[in-house]
Amino acid sequence: MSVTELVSEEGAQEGKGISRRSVELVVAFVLMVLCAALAWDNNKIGAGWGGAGPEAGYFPFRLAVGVGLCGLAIFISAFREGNSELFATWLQLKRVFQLLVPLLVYVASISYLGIYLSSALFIACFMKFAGGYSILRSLATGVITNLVMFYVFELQFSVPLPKGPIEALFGF
Amino acid sequence: MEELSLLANGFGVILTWQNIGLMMIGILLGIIVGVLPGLGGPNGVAILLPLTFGMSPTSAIILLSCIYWGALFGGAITSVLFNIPGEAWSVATTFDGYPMAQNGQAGAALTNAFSGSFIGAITGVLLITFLAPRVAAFALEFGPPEFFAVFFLTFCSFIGLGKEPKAKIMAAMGLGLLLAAVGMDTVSGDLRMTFGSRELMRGFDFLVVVIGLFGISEILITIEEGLAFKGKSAKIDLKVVLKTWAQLPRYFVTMIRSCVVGCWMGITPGGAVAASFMGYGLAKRFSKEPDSFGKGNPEGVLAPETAAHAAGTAALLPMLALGIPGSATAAVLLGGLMIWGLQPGPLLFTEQKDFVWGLIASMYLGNIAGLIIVLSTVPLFAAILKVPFSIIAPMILMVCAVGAYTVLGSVHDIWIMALFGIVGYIFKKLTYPLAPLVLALVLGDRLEDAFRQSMLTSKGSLDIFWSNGLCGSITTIAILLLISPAFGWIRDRIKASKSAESKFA
Repeated sequence: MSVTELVSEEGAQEGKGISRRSVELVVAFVLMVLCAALAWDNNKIGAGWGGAGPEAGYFPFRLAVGVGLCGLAIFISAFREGNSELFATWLQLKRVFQLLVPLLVYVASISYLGIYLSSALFIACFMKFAGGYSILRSLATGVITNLVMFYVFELQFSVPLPKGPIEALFGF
Repeated sequence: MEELSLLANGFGVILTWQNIGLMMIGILLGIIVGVLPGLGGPNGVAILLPLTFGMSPTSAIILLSCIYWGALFGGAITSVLFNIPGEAWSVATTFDGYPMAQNGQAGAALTNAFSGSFIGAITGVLLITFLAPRVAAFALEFGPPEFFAVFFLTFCSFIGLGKEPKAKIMAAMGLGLLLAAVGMDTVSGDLRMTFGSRELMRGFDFLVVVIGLFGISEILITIEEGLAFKGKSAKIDLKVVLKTWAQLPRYFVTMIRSCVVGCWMGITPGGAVAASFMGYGLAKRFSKEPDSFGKGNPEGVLAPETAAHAAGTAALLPMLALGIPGSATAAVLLGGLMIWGLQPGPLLFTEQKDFVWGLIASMYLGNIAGLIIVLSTVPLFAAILKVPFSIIAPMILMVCAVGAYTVLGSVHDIWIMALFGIVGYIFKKLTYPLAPLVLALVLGDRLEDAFRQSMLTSKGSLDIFWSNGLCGSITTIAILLLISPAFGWIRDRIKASKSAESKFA
């Protein structure tokens, strides 16, 4: 689902943000660098015509060159267009990072705490700090959700998910 | 009418309590998936796909295709009540659906939307029933060059018909094909583009990529506007439904028009979005009172929904008959076929009769069940949207993480998912299309195999793609589609210069 149509009063007032043009240029540049690396790697394993037909790098090498050229075209057209559109306002970016940073911390913690404990903490913290709910309600929501998850995945479907110290205490 | 007896067999296959139960569960899950932000058709199916590995392919596809129908229905709920299009092809539904809801006619708007969806979908299924077996039988003669030509046609039509800048469509497609090539090369055993990483040896799993690109990115876009949703409430009772249905015959021609446009655009990949706008545009152009569109005209809800669902359903035709998906969700379903050990393509119709006709029969039943369920449970799902986003968002992210992990049981995949979430967020904002990327990722290996085998036969000459009439005409049509935007551009130029001349003359 997307929320393109929602009116954001604050966003309109905030006004300033990161320009779309600069993001376009950066993305196109990254595309070109990535494709150069991929083309180099494919050329290394052989992108030509071997004894048994096309070599392993034949197809991807040509693709990488093609995508690189597209990147160049995007770069040039973004450079020439003097577009003053915004990619996102600072407020919007701040909100995105308020979700993105906890998400990355959450993903990192899965390796150590297991997915159930990490998810419970993630939900609880997000509710507490972003939603302003009481500690009790936040914790209860996180824990109950994950008990249900545990029941569905481990006990009903017997699909094992990453587990950590807490589950080990109970012998899982 | 051999199809009818095969179809009857199909109904025999699916009419077990277990399958009917799965159908209901699928539709309910699908509506939830369609209503919630961050969970659309493609990644809803992707997340649940791993749970079906243990089921029989027929039960699994019934469950997953019903999620697809449910998600299609669910998209209309958010469009009408919240002015938030659930999928890109629901955008046109908001034009008249939301004004109707504001006028207090939410129930009528939803009934129109659902009925239109149903009629469109059933038309699409009828088309599949009678056309798909013929297309498949025809395609049995295909060799590698023909298959490459059809793949090529698919990709070219994305480029030719896509509304995004052409360079971006091609870049997204190329990236998808490159991602598919990462890892061990199946022919030579060489490691490609792994840069010494052991994790990359097995390549990128398309399910993980889909969950990131569609799910995580959508949450990031949603959160930009803050944590609040503002929606209209809806109540549907039998009286409203019957009253709306009584008026449907009035829009008979509109519906036919939308069905034709939808079926045509659905078989052509990437057409569902275009179909919904075309359906809306045609209804408006032929209407006696075009000014009432955009202010809450029921015809403006009916037309795009019918077209979009005819297209969404018809998109399954090339997937079944040729092994080439017409939409992102169809691509995920196709990936599922391969995981369940079925080889997608024309052989499916001869070797897996029970599976194919079971699926087609479930399309009929699924849409009927879907219509009844969605009409009777709208208030429930509208209530789900009232749950604050600060609770829903972390839960959806958790479900996505679990979905990414269960594909192969690797924590590394959760990182890949997060990475593609960020990529998807940036791509969406810069209008790089995501559907061609996913399609390319799913088809990449088979496209490359077809290309290599053709090249082997021809010893490296591209002439092989014009070696016979069939192959040559497909390739030529593909190239014409590819360069078709240039014609429009030239025409505009000529027009512009002519009008400039007449001004000065």
